[in-house]
Amino acid sequence: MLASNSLMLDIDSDVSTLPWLMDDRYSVTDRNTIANTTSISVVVFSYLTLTTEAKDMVNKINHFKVLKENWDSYGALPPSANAIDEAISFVRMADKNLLPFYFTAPGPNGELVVEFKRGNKEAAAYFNSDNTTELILSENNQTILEGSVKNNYKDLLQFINA
Amino acid sequence: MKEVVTDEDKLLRRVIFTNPNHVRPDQSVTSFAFQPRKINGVAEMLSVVIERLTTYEAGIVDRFNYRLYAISVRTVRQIGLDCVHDPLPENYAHGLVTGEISKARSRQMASAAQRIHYPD
Repeated sequence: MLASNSLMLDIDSDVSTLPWLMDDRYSVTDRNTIANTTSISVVVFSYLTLTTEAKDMVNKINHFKVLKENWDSYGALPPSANAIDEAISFVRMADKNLLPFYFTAPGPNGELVVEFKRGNKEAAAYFNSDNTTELILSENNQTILEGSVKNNYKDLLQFINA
Repeated sequence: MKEVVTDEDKLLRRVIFTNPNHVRPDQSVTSFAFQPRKINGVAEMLSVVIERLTTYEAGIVDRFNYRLYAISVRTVRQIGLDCVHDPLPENYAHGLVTGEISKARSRQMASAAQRIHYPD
């Protein structure tokens, strides 16, 4: 039962630390307000709203953190911390839009891809180590759109969900 | 001595399938299987082996962690890339896919690649 003045936060069950609470997606603008307050109850809910598929993606992406240089024997770099963080944030957002997760993998230059598939439609969202993103939409192996995740997210939603 | 690579040749690429995995659930491969490493921001050429100059056993090197995928030279050229023979002292069959290998082109090569059923 919630006490009045309680602050409800969504927290992913697989996250053991809280630095991302500063993320404005959670409408918490001042971390110290939370850390220092004694007058409100903080009710922490496990972020059970993530689907099984999204949790699986997040777990796989987190496992990429252990990769060392040359993990593919072709000289690949380990995935960058930034690419991992961006990909996980993207998975959370995509899950809320019910996108059909299909696959994730690290690339040779410290980047990651998160792939979606519905019938003959495929989408690949790339998170590069230099903080750039790329999005490729394809149908029947023909490229429909090349852009960035940030600029073309609506296109991704329309393409996959159409 | 370098050999002429014809449209009829097939190129083999080793694809990691353990941890991590570039082979998708439907046995197709993710574009990263055909994405070269960048050095100083410039993409290197993509290492392959020319099928008629090698054996699957030699091509796969490590059959416990890799699978072999084949793509025709004709397909590589149709998407705007090329292939040359680049023999190495330890690997005469070595070749290079040349040209600007964007992610979209990597995806096209990955989509066209066929699994070689070796060793299983």
